[in-house]
Amino acid sequence: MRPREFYDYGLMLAQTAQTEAQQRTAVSRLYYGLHHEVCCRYFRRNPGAQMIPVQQRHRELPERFIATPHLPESLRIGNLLRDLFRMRAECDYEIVPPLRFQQRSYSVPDVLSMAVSKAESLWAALDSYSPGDSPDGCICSVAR
Amino acid sequence: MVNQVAVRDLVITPEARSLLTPFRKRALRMMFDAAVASGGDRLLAEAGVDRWLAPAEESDPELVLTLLVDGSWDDVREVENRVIARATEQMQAWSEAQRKDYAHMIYLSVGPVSP
Repeated sequence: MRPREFYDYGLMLAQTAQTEAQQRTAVSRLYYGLHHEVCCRYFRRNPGAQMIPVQQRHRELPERFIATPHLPESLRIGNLLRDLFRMRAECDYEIVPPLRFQQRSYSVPDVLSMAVSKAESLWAALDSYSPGDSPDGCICSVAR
Repeated sequence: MVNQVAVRDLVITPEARSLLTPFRKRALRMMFDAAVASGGDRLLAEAGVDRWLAPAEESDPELVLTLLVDGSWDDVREVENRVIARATEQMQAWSEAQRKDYAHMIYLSVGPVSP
């Protein structure tokens, strides 16, 4: 499957969610769809890049973008991906609201609303960084 | 309810202070100044530096520069664009070690005061 399918499912859930579990799951699907999409496009653009150890993938992937000195899109992608990871972690681990983000307390619907906005910004930045969705069967070069 | 006071200085929590090196402090100040220059009085609440430990995997602590903008998502993106443009410009002059230090430790999070 394509990473985009996770992302699209997350958007669909965000638009139709009626329960807190669905709202939290939407944030998680948005993040994982983008995590895989970002990883695939990174290795598509940098085919010789060193593989990322699987235990460090969520931290190291954004760091690789932030460390790239000459592309504004890279900084944006790295920071947005970390934002989404943090929201995803709150949604999946903090069962009792409020959720913490940006040093403040938010309801689950508020976190979902922010996640959708940030996910859309991240997808747009990816299209500047390396145009074109990752294909079916995309292999993200992460050590297993 | 967010305290609607325009940011005039960079607030660094005591916990985050222990993580600061002179270089990191300069990098945070540079981003903060770029945000103030672009956000003006729309940059509300505190701009803090915080420590975050990822709950899902082992991770070193991170410095988080949080900037909240009193406006729409377009306003948020405008401030974010200015800060990123400034950081990208500054990074050209940084050494490889400084870039890695920055990427490993400093995290910029920009959002609206009201989601």
